Amino acid sequence: MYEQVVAVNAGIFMLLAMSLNIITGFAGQPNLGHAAFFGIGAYTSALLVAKAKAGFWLALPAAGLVAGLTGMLLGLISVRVREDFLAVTTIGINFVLVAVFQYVPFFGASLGLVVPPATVFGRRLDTGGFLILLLVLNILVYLLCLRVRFSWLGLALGGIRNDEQATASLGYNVNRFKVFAFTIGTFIAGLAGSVYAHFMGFIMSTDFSFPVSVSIMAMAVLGGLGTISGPLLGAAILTLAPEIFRFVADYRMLVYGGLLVLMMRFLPQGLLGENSPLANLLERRRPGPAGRVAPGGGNRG
Amino acid sequence: MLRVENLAVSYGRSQVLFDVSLAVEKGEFVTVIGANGAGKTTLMKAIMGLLRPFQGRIVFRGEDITARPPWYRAELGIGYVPEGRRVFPDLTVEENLRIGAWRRAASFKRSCERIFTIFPRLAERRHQLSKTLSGGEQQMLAIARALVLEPELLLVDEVSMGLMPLLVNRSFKVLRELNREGVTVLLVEQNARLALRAAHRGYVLETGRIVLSGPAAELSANEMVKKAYLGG
Repeated sequence: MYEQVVAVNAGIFMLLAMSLNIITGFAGQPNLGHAAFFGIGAYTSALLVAKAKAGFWLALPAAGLVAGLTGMLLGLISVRVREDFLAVTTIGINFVLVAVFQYVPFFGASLGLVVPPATVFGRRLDTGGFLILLLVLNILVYLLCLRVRFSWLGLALGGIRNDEQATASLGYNVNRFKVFAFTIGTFIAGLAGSVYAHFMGFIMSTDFSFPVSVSIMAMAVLGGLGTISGPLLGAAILTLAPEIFRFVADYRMLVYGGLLVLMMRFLPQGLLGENSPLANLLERRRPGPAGRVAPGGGNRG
Repeated sequence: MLRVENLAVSYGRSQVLFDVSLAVEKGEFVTVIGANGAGKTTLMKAIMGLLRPFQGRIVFRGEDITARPPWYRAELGIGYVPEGRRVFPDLTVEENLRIGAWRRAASFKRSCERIFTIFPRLAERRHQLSKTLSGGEQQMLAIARALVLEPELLLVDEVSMGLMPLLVNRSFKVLRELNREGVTVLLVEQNARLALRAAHRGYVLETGRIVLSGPAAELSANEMVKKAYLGG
């Protein structure tokens, strides 16, 4: 049972890290407030089921939709501000949202919200059920990332990450692509929020605070921003580490923050990024000619 | 083909371009020479739409594009080679080219072959990350990337910057060849000697103002140009 709970937690953060990777890794747009969209998804889903008596299977996509629409708004803002301002803006959004959840009675204020359990055909979805759901969601999102990465879209996002002006001069409506990345990324975070809310059965504002955003960023950076599998690995490591090493749990934020600094200094491409020791090891063991075949490149995780 | 009328651009409070007017006819090779900080890059970015002028008009093939976004101008047939060989460093050579072929997937193969005959070195390195290329190769790639869109007008921002003389000569040769093949070229350049040798006509840009213009040969013979840009 304990192992299953840990696995559910890992599965949720894998979704979050992959979704942040679409925004920050693929499109190169800083987002230090990703937990806000996780929260929007969680509250949307909780309120729909608790107050509007909607079913979980309706609330789940709705949570993604509301988070995605909010993310689209952020995307529209992002095309008007420079990158450093965008980073600050996203942090601000996170704090504002937590404050709203914290003080508005409709959202349960400081008492939090009790979330009705999810049901399938009248039966309560148990931990094993959540695990299967998360597995399916993770596979779908992974395939989506793969699809995006090795398509025109991925190439365009890669261009924007590298050099926005040059990409614009090649005939790309850069803004539209940025907004798209924000919408998709935050939609997935909303789905993760919905699953989280119904699994926990109780949510409150601090579950979605700025430190959670930093954790998600640390996972994506550890695994490798812009890679396909990196965020999965990063999320797995950082959700399991506190369970295995007690001291990590006690100093969680210190570890995550420190990790971000160390990664940026010594391995900015992440564990599975281009030319990292781990990526090279995997590359060498792969049969066939080394090299990049598909558009978008082969050896990116 | 291109008409720039009374263009003025400023960054915040400091104005960079003052009342700049110039014209480029179809098939021409026109250069704008000027020292560092004269406003050459600003002019290029304004024509491409990467900067918004606060005054003036830009007309391309009879259409007023002053308020149009960069991608629209690219679709109309304006290609842009940014300064400092700004290729996409963590994409391969081929990806750098492919990214320009978004709406031209059908003709990409053909244009790719053409580009590789102009730049055989790029063919050899097509699967390398472009950040591993030498400076000269990156300059070639920056030009090649713009050619994928088969532009009618090619804006080139400094081919000579930071390259050794041999490669500078080679870059100019490539631009002249492209021009002969029918691509209209507008080059802003610090190396006035080579630019005026390659171009048909020239403009002299000084602290944001066009101070002189005329056929390239005439400019080369001009005393003021000689003194200021050709080393006496």
